[in-house]
Amino acid sequence: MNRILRSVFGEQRADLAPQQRGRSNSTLACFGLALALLQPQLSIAQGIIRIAQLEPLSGPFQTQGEANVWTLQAAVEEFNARSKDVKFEVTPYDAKGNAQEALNIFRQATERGIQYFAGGGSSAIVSGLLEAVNTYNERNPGKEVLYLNHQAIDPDFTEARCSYWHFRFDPHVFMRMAALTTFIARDTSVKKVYLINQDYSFGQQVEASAKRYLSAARQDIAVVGEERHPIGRIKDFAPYIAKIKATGADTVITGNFGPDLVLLIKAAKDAELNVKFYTYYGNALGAPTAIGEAGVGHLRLVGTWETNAMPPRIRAIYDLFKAKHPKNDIFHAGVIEMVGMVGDAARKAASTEPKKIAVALEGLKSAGAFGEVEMRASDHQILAPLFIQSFAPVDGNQVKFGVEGLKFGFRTDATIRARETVPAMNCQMKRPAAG
Amino acid sequence: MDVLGSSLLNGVTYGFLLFMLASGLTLIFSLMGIMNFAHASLYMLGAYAGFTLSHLLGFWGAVILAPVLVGAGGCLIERWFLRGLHARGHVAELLFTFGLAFLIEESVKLVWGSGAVEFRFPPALEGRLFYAFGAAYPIHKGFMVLVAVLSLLCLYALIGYTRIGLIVRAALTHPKMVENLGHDTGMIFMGVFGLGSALAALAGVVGGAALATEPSMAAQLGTIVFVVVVIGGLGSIKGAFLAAMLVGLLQTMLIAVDLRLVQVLPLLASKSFEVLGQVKISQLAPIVPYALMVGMLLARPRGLFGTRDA
Repeated sequence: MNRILRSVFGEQRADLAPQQRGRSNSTLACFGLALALLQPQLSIAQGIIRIAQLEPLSGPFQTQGEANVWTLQAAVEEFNARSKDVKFEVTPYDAKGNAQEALNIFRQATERGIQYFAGGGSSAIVSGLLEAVNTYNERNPGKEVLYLNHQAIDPDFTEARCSYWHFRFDPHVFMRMAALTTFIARDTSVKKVYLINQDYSFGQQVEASAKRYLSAARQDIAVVGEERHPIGRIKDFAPYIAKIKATGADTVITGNFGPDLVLLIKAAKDAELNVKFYTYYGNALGAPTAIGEAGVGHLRLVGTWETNAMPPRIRAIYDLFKAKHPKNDIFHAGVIEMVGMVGDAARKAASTEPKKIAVALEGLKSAGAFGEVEMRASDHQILAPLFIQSFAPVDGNQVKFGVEGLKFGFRTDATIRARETVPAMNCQMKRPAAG
Repeated sequence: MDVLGSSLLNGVTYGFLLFMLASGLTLIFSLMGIMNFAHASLYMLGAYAGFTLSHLLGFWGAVILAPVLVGAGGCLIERWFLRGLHARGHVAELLFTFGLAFLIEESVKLVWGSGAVEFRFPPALEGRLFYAFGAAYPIHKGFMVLVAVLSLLCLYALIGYTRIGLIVRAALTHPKMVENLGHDTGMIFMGVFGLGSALAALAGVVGGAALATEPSMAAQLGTIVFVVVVIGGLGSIKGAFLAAMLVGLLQTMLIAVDLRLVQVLPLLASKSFEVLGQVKISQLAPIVPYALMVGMLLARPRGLFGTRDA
């Protein structure tokens, strides 16, 4: 753990040098831009996209924050090594899972001239950050900043509260739930479903959408219980497991992540609860280790990461990540899609300026980590493939890689192509005046 | 019925963990008259010490050595800090333990990092002890109860039936007289503080492995333990036991209740309380102990078995 602190601090310190370099670089970039305007055929001089990554690097959701920091590091390292014109520079910050802390970091970073923000942790924190970005851009025309959301999947961010300055690189709760319930509906052994989630906006969205989609998909599936527990506070889930057991549920759907998922699964294993767990984040951060062999055939998930079918670029990122953190795993593709798409947008716009990147990102189609992805212009929601996977022993064929150093990994049971995940459009976006 | 049964089991298990902590805290209070705010931090220190020692000596070595180390640390704290402050009254001591709690928490973050560490029971304690009420009861929980019961019995025997216990009990009520009889009360105070710390650390090793070993564990369990001690009555071990069971059972049992507030209190059916009425009883479980403490302080400030007001 110290190692992480050091790596974070080390990064910030090491960051000082590139920063000074960066300043001259950005003048260069401006200069280059001016040149580019004069000579349209000239591509941009080396432009740097500087991202402040806000993650929980302490507290209960530290493991999740670290995994995101490491994934982004690997993705950026791979991108920078390949790219000659556009480079990324990422500074991780510890938002401590605290909305106020995140806002403080945002303020400091904008003063330092950082124009891109990513991460946040839970949807509750992203919600505050999004508000801050909107206000900042309103008050500082010409100095706009962008919020690159790679993990907060509360649908509100691209629906009721959609913002021109926000782009989401991860399929949201409803898209995932639609995919998951379609799959569950095909499993005739599923009769009784129990919903257990964290008691805040994200958990509530998972619960509500599960009920809605399940009843639409199969009439005979009964939701036998729904439970919300305080986020990050429950240390012993045994009482909840007893309750699930009593309902006779055969399937549990949960959006829990981090310790809330690990401890839930651990308690279920201890009590020998024999149900299928359909999760959003069951593929990393301790959940596979907690369940071990007992999870085979029981632990399932809907996600964006597919280790069994990695194209060369993703394989390179995976190798970079694994070389540094052999006991950890990349658990979602959002971070990687963000780097890929923003990089593409920068080339398309021939600029690293947020306003131009935003224009370029709208409707952008990109190669994507595991198949083509698209940034929907009307609500800034990515359309990306989803995978339904289940925990299984590594066999070199269907399951090529183990997770967390185990002899178990994830087998893909179903692939939902990007165009099949298209959610309803519920966004009325306020766009900045042209020019 | 099954839910009730397994909730009872889980509640009692949790109650025993709370009791291990509360007994040390209440013992220190009854002897020294101070609420040791750093008590839960010693619990955390026990868990982290156990984590490190388990890598060096294995889990069983850690279970024995971590409480010894933390207990010795407790003795030093009493000898070098609290004793000097004693003359300046309780407020100074209270503030000292308050500061100590923060100091320990930040030190733990510096030494072990700010996230959770992977501290688990050895394979021998994994698996099922017995199967009841439709759920397995894991061995490690049985171990937790066993440790709590054993330490309780030892404590009881030590205080109630030994010469040392006799002197301790005398020092509780008549410290000056005990001193005049030629006993070293300073030594007794130090010993009791050390014993309380060791108990907290023992709870920490077991609780840390069973739940999670992380820097916030002190703050989370600490507040609950204060609730337990206040409800049970400051200074009463019997009270601490009953209150620990009460809080443990209440928190666990309420989770099992699947009703919404409006179903219990039809008063809330009106439109203006719509949101409140839809809250599930199980969602209230985490705050109930605190409500109980507030209620207890209003109705009976000395708690269930306390002899002085909180």
